[in-house]
Amino acid sequence: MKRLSGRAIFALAVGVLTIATGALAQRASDSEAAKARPSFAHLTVGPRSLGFGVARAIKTKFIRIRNTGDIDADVIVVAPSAPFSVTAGGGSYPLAPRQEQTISVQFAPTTAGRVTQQMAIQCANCNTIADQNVTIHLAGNARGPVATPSGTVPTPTPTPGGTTSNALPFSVTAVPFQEADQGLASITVCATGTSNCAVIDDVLVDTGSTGLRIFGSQLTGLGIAPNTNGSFAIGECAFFGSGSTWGAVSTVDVQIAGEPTITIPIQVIDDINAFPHAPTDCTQGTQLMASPDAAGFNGLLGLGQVSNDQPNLFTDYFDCLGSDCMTNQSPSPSDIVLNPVSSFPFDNNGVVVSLPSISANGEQATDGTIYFGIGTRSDNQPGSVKVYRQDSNPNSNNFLGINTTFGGKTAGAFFDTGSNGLFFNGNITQCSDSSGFFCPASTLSESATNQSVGTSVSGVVNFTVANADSLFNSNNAAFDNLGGSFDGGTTFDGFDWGLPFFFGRTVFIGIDGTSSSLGAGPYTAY
Amino acid sequence: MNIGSIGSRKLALAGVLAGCFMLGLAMQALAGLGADATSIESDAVAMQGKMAQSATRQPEPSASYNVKTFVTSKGVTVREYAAPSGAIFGVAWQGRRPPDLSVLLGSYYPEYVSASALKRHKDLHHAVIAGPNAVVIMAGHMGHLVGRAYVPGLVPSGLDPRAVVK
Repeated sequence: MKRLSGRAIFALAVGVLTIATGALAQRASDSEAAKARPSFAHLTVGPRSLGFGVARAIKTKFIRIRNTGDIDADVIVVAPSAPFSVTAGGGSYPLAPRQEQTISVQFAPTTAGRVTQQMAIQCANCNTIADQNVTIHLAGNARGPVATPSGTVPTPTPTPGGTTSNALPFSVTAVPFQEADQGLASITVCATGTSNCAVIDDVLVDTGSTGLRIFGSQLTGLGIAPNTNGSFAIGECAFFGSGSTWGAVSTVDVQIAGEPTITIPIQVIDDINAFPHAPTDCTQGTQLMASPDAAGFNGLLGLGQVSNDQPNLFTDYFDCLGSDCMTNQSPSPSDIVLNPVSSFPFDNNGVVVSLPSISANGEQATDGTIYFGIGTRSDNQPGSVKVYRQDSNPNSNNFLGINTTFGGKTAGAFFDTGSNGLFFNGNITQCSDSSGFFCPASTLSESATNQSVGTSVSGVVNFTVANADSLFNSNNAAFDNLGGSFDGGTTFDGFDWGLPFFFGRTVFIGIDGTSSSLGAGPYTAY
Repeated sequence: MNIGSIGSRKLALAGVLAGCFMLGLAMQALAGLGADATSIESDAVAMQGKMAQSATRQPEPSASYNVKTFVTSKGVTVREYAAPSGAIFGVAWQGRRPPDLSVLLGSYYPEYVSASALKRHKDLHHAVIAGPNAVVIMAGHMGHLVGRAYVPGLVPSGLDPRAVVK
């Protein structure tokens, strides 16, 4: 009877709300139209250096370029001279929006010795000076002349970069999801042990969650099936600040940057009704992320600082049969969604997030890099950084957090590339659209002090908060001064150092249970 | 045809409404936001939770409110805020996952569901969902989630729900 009355009220409310919804949707689309961005071209290029090592035969390595703008990019590949050459993807050509091109670079030494050169990938009509002329550094060594390797001609792998690079480029751009401060990368997913692969673009780089999650609509046709436990299919629900993801757990082959292919369980977020409906135990009444458009990404590359996604704590696992799913509190270790970084054979103790400084007015598109590993290669060596130890007690409310003092109050805080602003409760005017972003009349200069947990390290972070409406009304998508309320309160109760924090910094993020020259994880150092 | 079908739907809705109204009177069926403070324990039961302390707060001479706290079986701490009249005007939570909002938001759950679909700025780790009557704010990274919801129209005068409900 109780349920009946609830449903009746639901029916009434839906009836009333349909009218209001129509009006609001109209207003929202009007405002989107008013903010249409001018067209632009932007190239994401990686890797920017190719090391051929000591060549005993002719070697080929690959550079991947991608147009992350919304008009054709006019690409000019300026080839190197012998012993390097471009064997595919060279010359001048237009690259359509969202399209990728692999450029094959060959090293065919004719004498002994080390040789270095540069080549360039230019984009005549790109929107930033940085991507109008990207220099690629080439280096190789030889003990003498080499011949074409016997056997098959090397073909490009679908891996971004296609080398043994640990560098994953990502782009902060409003294309295609029209969102600000989202770092989007490309990775490759294959049905295990096959060449049925798809490059998944626009995957959100997220240090605030753990595990790879891809919408099922991006994986159709690959032949990826849910993992099974006897006759049950494994389902999973993961909880985020804005809602939940639901779908099957599937073990797949994953290629990220030039790291060796890993075979790991991921979550296939079910946006195509290929899996039983989410049980109510999963949703907890929160909203499921329904589609890439609704979520603002095609998938999540969760690089958070634990080795898996913590069944029963951070996530719930289910055994599904037919259309019914029941909770499984003891999923098999082979079905638990893993941190991809922890799964690398090397470079597995953390990540380095690097983003350039940007103008106070923001940028249309800005490229950053995730380097896998800390202190494992020449490109991920920590220089002089302060190490902020994070709470390593899984039972603590501040697990994986540091402490931050703002306005005389101290609370837990975390670093999160997947948050699109600096979020904290402060006495700053919020925007009138109820979005929770800050809209001060003029840009504010603020500061907060970060403190390590368990050590005396601390440091002041100076930041600015601009009017979010003005930022959103500009043509830009990357901002280092976008801020908002953390949870709608008037009292400081936590700091989410979102993507704006990372501009102009190189941040070392160590995984719990690992160590590096910076000590034992979890820590964040910059 | 169309007019007829709308008319008959209205009638059906009126009938359902009348039934619902009577049921409501008989059972105090609704819990969560907007319900009476006496229903908080049933919210705790619905989430297999345990009641913790109960307190009356008097932040200003002009207004007071009651807070009841319980912890759900999933370890989420939930606080419900009731006006002197008994009406629950706010709920707040903290835990590794969200609490069951279909219980906590009570009769405001449907408007939250509708308003969720209109959310403009997408962010993985934050959501502000302002419906016609209730405001729901959620935030946090995986494993540490917080949120609060309140009905401005039910907040006792003199209280700022943004300061109180937390």
